[in-house]
This record gives sequence, C-alpha cells and structure tokens, in this order.
Amino acid sequence: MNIYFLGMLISMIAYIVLGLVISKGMKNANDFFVAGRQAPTFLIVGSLVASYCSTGLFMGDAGEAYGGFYTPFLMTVIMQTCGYILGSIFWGKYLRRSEALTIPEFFGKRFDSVRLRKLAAITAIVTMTVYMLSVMQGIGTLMNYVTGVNYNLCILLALITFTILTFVSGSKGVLITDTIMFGFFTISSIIAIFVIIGKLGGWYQAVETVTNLNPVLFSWHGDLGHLYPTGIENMVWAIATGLTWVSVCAIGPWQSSRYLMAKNEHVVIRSSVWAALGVFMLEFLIPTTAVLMNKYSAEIPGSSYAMIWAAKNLVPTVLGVLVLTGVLAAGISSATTFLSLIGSSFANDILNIEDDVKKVKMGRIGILIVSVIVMFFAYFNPPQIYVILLLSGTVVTCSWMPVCVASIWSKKVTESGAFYGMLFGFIACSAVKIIGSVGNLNLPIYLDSFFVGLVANIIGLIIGSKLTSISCKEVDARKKLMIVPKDEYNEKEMQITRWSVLAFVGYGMVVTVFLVLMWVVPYYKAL
Amino acid sequence: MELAIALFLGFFVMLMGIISYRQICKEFKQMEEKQKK
Repeated sequence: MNIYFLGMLISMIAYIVLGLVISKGMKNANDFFVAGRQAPTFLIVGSLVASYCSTGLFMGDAGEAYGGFYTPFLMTVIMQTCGYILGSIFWGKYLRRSEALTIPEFFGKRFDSVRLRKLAAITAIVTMTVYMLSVMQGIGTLMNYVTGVNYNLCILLALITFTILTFVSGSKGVLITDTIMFGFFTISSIIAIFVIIGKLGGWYQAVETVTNLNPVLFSWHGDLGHLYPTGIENMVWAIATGLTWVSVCAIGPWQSSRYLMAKNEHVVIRSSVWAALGVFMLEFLIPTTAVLMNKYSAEIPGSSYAMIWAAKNLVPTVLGVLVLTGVLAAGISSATTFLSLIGSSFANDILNIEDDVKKVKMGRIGILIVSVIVMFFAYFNPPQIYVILLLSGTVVTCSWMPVCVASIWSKKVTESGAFYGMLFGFIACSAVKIIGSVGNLNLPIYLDSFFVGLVANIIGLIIGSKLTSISCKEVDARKKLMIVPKDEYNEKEMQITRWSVLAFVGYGMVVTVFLVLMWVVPYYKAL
Repeated sequence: MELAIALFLGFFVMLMGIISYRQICKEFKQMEEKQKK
C-alpha cells in the first residue's frame, strides 16, 4: 500500500468517525436539514468555500490555466467572487428570513405554489446529481493516478465515505466537516505552493522562465487554439462565464442554501465577504502555480494532472500526502453538500412530508437512492455522461436566477411567471447544451447556452406574469419577507456587518494590487 | 491589455462592493428609523 493511499484511507475513516460523533447531538429535522439554524460565520464560510472547491479546482481549473487559458479563466473567477456579496445582500438574507428548510420550499411559500416548489426541487436535484457525478469522476481520477488503485474501487471508497457521513449526520455534520476539510486543504495547499515557488527560484523568476518558454501562457488572449480562435471571443466567453458563475455563487443551491443554516442575517452577509476572499485566494494561487508547471510539461501526463504531479514530485512526501488528501477532502466536502441537499429536497419538496421523524427518514432514503444512481453512472461511465456533465452550473443559473431576483424585488411577478420562467430557462439551456455537445457543434458565442437560457427564462417570466394576476397570498408572502426580524436590530452587530461589507471594497483594491504585482509586472518584465 | 484587464477586474470588484455597501447602509438606516418610531 503506498503512502498516499494510506493517507487517504485514514482521512476517510476520520470523516466517518466524525460524522458518527456529530450525529449523536442531532435531535430533529431542523438539525438534520439546516443544522438547527445556529451556525456562526466561520462555519458558513468554511462550508461555502468547501462546497465550491471540489476536485474541479485542483484538476479542472488548474488544468485549464496550465493548458493556456489562464487570463480568461482568471477573469471568470474574480468576477464570480462578487456573486457572494451580491447574493447574500439581495437574496441570501431574505432566504434566511423565510425560515424555509430548502430553497424550493422558499419558492413554494413565496408564490403559494406546489408545482413551482416541485419544479425547483427537480432542477436542483438534477443539476446537483450531475455535478456530483463530475466530482466522483474527479475523485476517481485523482485517487487512481496517485495511488495506482483500481478506479472503480477508488470511487466506491469515496462514495461510501460521503454517503455514511451525510446519512448519519445530515447538514450539521456536513457543515462541520466542510469547515475542517476547508482548513485542511487550504493550509496544506498554500504551504505546498510556497515550497514549489521556492524550488522554481521565486515568483518573478518562475513567471519569467515560463514566459520565455511560451509567451502566450500569461497573455490576455491565452492560447488561441484552446477554445475560440480570437482573443475578443475569449474575452466575451470570460465575461459570459464570469456572469454565469456570479449567479451560481449568488443563488446556486449548493452555495446559497448555506445561508439557511446561519445564526442570523448578519452572519449571512459577513460570511459571504470572507468566502469571496477565500475563493479568490485559492483560485488565484492554485491555477497560477499550475501555469508555472509548464516548465515540467514534458513530465506531466495531461493538463488536469499539473498540480497533482507537482504535489507528488516537487514537495516533500509528507506534505504531498497532506495536499493530495486535502484535494480528496475538497471533493468529498462538495459531494456531502450535494447529497444532503438532494436528500432535503427529496423529502421536503418532492414528497412534501410534514412529520419530522418521517422527513428525516425519507431524506436519508433519498441520500441512499442518489448514491446508488451516482455509483451506477460513475461505474459504467457511458460516453453520454460527458454531455450531461456540462449541464450543471449554467443550467441552475438559467433556471433560477431571474426567478430568485424577481421573488424578492418584483411586485409584478406572478406564480405562473415564476413557474414558466424557471421551466423555459431549464429546457432552453439544457437543450442548447445537449444539441451543442451531441452534435459536436461549435455554436457562436452569442448562442451560448447561458444567453439562450437566460433570455428564455425572462420571456417566460414576463409573459406568464402578464397573462395572470397576483394572488393575495403572494402579496402577503412578499410583504412578510420585507419585515426585518426584531433580533436583527443590534447596533453593535450592524456596525460589524457594515465594516465587513466595506472590507469587500478594500478587497477590490487588494485584487488590483495583487494582479498588477503578481501577474502583470512579472509578465511584462519577462517579455 | 493585461494591465487594463487587471484594473478592470479590480474596478469591477470595488463597484460591486460599493453597490452592496450602499444597499446595506440604506437598509440599516431604515431599521434604525423604524426602531426610533
């Protein structure tokens, strides 16, 4: 048994034990689905970042940057961090205020609609199952490459770990283990990056070496053979994808559902600021270091393996084990979040169970069913899976974004408008994605599934709302959302929250300085 | 162009921060006024 496999096995056993310990303190459905709504800022931050950072960050994002798509990618990730603050202020705190157990329940209450609630649950379950599949594939590829153990055994071990963890401890366990995993992979990755940069002769020297090898890597347009043939098209892609992911970070079920567990609305807002900082730090450091790995391109087996190869070959073995176990933790933490949300939506929104005990029981059954389905697809891995994998982020944005905004900020939107907006957005976006992938078509950038899905959603929203009228229950539900709970009025808390949001403006300055000093200046010097 | 992108991204983040700050100040002010009443 190699040391990497041993490290991963120990960590998986530790997560299961932790889940079992946490499950002992669980009393009711509120504990299982929304962690008792008592989570402080650091737990929400940990869960937000851990749910976001799956194996995709270390393999997918790092691989894109390594493969020549650095600048367009950098634009998308920096833009998307704004989704946290916008999402918390314009959506998340109202979601928290609704005291719903799930986001589909929020839609159901807000529009007094069972069909909208079920549609929202279906879109959430489909997109998160798909996302989970991609995480599973990432975990399998990582473990197989690092340990040499059979791919299917690797995904089975990971699946057993996150299924048991979620099954026994629910959202409460997910929240705590997410935060531990976030701390683990953040600290180990940052230490490893320092070691790697040291080996490359320092940051500026490393950028110079790689720029001399290939001047395109850090350029604004990136490698023109990667996706689109012109720099302008790459920029349009970056902005469209950036806006998609602004929406995902703002309203995505695996992100904004964290706010349902927050102790109060101040926690919602503050946690979004620190989550944005955390995501920026990881998304800047890891993919930028991946670009620097081009120095070793002859030895790296493929772009997705750039950082994994670095962790195995450029850092001391013990640190390498910690980093790779951290990457596994990132994958497991995302999977547990998806799984717990799927279980909640299944019991609470699809089956609509009222009884607390039954609800938890059916939530657990939902978790088991989805685990089996995901294992089945990951095991047989049919080629169509790659088509389905492309759906998640954009589809959830196109289905939910306009409806989420309208549910809080529009007095005119009706139940039919919300329902048809969500339905049209879901169908249009999925159709374009599937047609583009199955037919292997290179659609022009303005026919990107994001634009098509969003326009379809807005059309459905407007037409549906024009043809029907708002019920008294809908008016009351929106009015209720605008009433600030008395507990939120606390001058000291308000002052801290104000400063936290102001810190986000400061973060904008930090981004500018960071990019100029760490990317632009060393790149220009090297040219 | 790289410098322009870096400045644009910094500006974008700051702008979103300012929009959020204005919104939160507005809401807190309303809360304070309601509390006084």
